[in-house]
Amino acid sequence: MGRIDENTLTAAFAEVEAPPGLDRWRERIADVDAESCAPETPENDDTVVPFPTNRDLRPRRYRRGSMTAVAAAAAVIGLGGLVVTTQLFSDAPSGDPTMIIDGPDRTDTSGVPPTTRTTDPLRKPSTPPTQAGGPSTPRGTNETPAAAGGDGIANPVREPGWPAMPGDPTAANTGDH
Amino acid sequence: MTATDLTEAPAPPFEQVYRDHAPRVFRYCLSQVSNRGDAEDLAADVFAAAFHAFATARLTPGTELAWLLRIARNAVIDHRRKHTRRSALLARFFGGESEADPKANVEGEVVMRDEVRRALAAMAHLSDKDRTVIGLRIAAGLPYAEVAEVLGLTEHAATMACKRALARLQRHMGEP
Repeated sequence: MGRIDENTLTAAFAEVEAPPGLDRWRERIADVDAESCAPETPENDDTVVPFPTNRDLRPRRYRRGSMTAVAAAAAVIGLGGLVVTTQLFSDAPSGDPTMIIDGPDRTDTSGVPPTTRTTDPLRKPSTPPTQAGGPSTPRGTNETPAAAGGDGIANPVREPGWPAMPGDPTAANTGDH
Repeated sequence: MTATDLTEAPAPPFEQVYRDHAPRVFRYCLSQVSNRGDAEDLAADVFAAAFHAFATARLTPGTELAWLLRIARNAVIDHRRKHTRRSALLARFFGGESEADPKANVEGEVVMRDEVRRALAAMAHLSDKDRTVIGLRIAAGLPYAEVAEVLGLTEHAATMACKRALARLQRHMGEP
């Protein structure tokens, strides 16, 4: 099948006649949106409208974020007011923190059990106030760690020394001489 | 008649414009939709829209056809967009069955030579841009300068686009 040149094709198309039904365009005038198909007129492109120098006549810029900002501020204020109101009108006071007494001079409110805090061997243990060189040291607190059969640790845990109390065993009531 | 007289000559009434250019507008529409019924509806819409815009168009004599074909080109683009959307909907709801492809339906009831039928069938394989160029140059019979005016191109660019589109059309027409 041979190729057809441009002139032959143009001549062939030129023989196609418009059908009589094309006259129906008059009936479609009311149905057709003229602006949907109408070509843009170049005259309109040449018309340049100068920007007004008077600031009052300029178009106002549309602020897109204003509504969002107002809504966010209202939400924050509402939540804050709810929290304050709840705190003011609540009957139950806030509970006291758990207090753990570790020794006479030591309190701990952290809630951590005291046994978990003695894992550091280099940490100096707490000692109650003692009377230096007191007459009565019932539990042998004056003994050195080595003499007391310690395990040789540089800073062993020492038992606290308490002052003498009435009824403590002494030579007078035990008969030891 | 001098050039000044031609420029200042009053534009012909719209009825005269319709009678002079209806066949070319219809051929252009036929080349774009390849379906007689759609082409007829499309051309009727073009003239109805042109009737609305004719009073304010301020046409100079001799430019009516290019102006009409610019309207036709916009109408074809709109028609293709609607057709694509409708075909997608039909394919979605009826399991892949779509309308008959207007590019494949060439014949219709228009009396036309075999060359025209083959050209319309081959144009179904071309891109929309090539179809537009071929429609303006071959079906509507516009010179290159007016093709350039309708498409918004330079005359050289329009000439090159026409030649390339025609080469692709002839390649498809040569296939068995």
